[in-house]
Amino acid sequence: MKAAILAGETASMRPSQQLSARIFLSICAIFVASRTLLLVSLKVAVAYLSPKSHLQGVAGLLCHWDCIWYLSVADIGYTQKEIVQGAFAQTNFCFSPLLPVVMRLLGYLFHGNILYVGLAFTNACFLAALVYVYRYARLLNFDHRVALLSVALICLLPQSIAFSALLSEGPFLLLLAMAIYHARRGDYLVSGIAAALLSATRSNGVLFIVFALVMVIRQGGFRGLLAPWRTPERFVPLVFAPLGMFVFWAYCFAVTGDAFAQVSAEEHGWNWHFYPVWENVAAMLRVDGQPRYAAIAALSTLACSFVLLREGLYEEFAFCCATIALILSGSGVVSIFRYWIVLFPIWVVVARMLSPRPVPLVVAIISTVVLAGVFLCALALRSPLSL
Amino acid sequence: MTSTASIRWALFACLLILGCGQVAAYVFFRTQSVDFIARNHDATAEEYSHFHRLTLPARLRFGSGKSDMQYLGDGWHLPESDGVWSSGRDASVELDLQGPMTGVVLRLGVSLYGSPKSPNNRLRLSVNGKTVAWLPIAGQESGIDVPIPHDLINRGTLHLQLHVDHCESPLRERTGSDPRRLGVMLEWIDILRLDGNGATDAVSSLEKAK
Repeated sequence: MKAAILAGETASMRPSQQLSARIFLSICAIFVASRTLLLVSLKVAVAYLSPKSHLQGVAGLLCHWDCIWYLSVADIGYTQKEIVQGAFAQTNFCFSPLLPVVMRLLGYLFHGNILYVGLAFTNACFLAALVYVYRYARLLNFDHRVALLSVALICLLPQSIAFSALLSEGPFLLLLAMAIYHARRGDYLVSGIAAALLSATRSNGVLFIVFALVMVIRQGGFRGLLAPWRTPERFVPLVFAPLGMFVFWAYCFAVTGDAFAQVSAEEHGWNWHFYPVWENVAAMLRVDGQPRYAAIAALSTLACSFVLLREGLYEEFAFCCATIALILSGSGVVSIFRYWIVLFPIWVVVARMLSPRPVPLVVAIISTVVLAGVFLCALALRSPLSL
Repeated sequence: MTSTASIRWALFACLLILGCGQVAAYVFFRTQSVDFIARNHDATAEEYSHFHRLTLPARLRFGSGKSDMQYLGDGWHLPESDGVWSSGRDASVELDLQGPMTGVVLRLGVSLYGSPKSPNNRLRLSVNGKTVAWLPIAGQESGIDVPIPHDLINRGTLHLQLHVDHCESPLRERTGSDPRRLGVMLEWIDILRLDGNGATDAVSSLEKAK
C-alpha cells in the first residue's frame, strides 16, 4: 500500500487519513498553544528589550518586515513608485499577488481593516496547512504520534511566527501541502489548482514542477514522460503549476511593459543577483554574521532533506533541493530559517526519525524552542537576524 | 473510441494547448519586456535634462545633496558624499545642451572598481549609442578627456552610457565590506566646447563660470 502511495497512485481515503474531531481538536490545541507561547514570549521580549518598539498589540506584533509591502499592495495596488530603504530604492512589485489580492477581497467583503482580515486569513491558512501536514504524514503510513509530532515541530520551528504574521508563509505552506498531498493521492486536478495558486503566492512556488516531473517519471518511467497522451491526468499538476506566475507576468507586462517586473524590482531594490550556488555559499560562509548563519541553516536543512530519500520520497527531495538551490543562488539571502520552514516534508520525516528516540527528541525540541526564543528576541530588537 | 479514451485525448489536447501557450507566452515576454525600473529612471532623467538644458561650459557634480544627481538615468546606487557608484555594468547619464553645437569634450571625474580579480577593469563610454572611448583606468584617476564629434550630438541631446567590464561586490571579492555591486564611481563631469582647432575652452573659463 505504501509503495502504491509513494508512487503517487490513486488511493482511496483510508480510516487513518480521515480526520476525526478529536484529532482536529488536537491540531487546534497545538496551533493555539504554540501561537500563544510565541506571542506571549514576543510580548515579554518587546517589553524588556525594546519597550518603545512599534511592535505593540497583537496586530503590531504580527506585522513586521515585509508585512508593510503586502499591506501596500493590498491597499493601493502595485505601484512603480520607489521607496528608499537603506541603500536601495524599492518597489512593491517584488511581492507576489495572491496574499494581497485575498486581503483586499476579504477586506471588501467584510468591510474590515485589511491588516486584521489579512492576519485572520494567514492564520486560517496555517491551521488548515497543519491539518494537511497531519493527513500527509498519515498518508505516508506514519502513525498518529509521528503525524502530531510533525505538526508540533512545524509550530515550534525558529521563525515559525512568520506563519501567523502578515507574510506569505502561511498560505504558501497550505498550498504546498495541498498540492503534494493531493498529487500523492492521485487528485491531480486539485493538486494542479493548488500548485497554480502556489506560484502566485511566491515565485519559488513554480518549483512544484520539479515535484510533478519526478512524480510523472516515477509513475510511468521515461516512456510515460515521452508519451503523455497515455495518462494525461498525471501531467495536470506539471502544466498547471506555472499558471499563477504567468498570470502575474501578464499583469506586470500590461501595467509596466516588463513581465519580469518582480525580478527587476528584486535586482534594483533588494540587490538580488544570481550566482552559481557554490560561489554564493562560499561567499556567505566567508562573511561573518547573518550570511554565515543563513548558509549554515540552509546546509543543515539540505542535510535533513536526505532523510526524505530514506523514506523513498524522491519527489519531495527533488522539490526541497531545487528550492534550496534556487534560494541559495541569490545574493540577497537574508532570512536564516524563514525560507526553509515551509519545506514541511523534511520536518515530517525528521519527526518520524526522532519519534522513537526519546533523548534526541527532547534535545531537538529544547534546541528548537531555545532557537525560536533567540529569534523572537531578535525580532523584538528589530535585528536583521529575525528577517 | 470509448468515452474514457475520448476524455483522455481531450484532456491531452487541452494540456498541450496550455503548455504550448505558456512556452509562447514566455518567449513573447522574454523578447518584449524592458526593465521597467531602468526605463523609468532613464525617462525621468531625460525629462529633467530637457527642462534643465546646460549652457557650456558646464560642470556637473554628483553626490548626496547635489542637484545634478537628477541627470543620472538608470544603473546608479544612491549617492554618497563624494560621488555615486554604478550598480551594474551599465549606467546612463542624460544631458541636453543649449546653443549651436560644434562638438564637445567630456571631462570625466571617475574611478573604477578594481580588485585582484579585475586589475585591468575598463570603462567604455558610448554617446547616443556609439562607442566613443575605451578607457583603461587603474584605480583613482580624474580628468579624462573624451572628445565628442558634432555629428554624434543629436540636437544637443547626449545619452551617455558608461559600461564597465567588471562589476562586483567588494564583500564577495573579499576586498571590503560593501555588499553592493560596484562598477564606476562618478564624481563630476565637465562639458566643454570643442573649438575649431580641436582644442577645448580653457578650464579656467569653466572655473570662472562656476
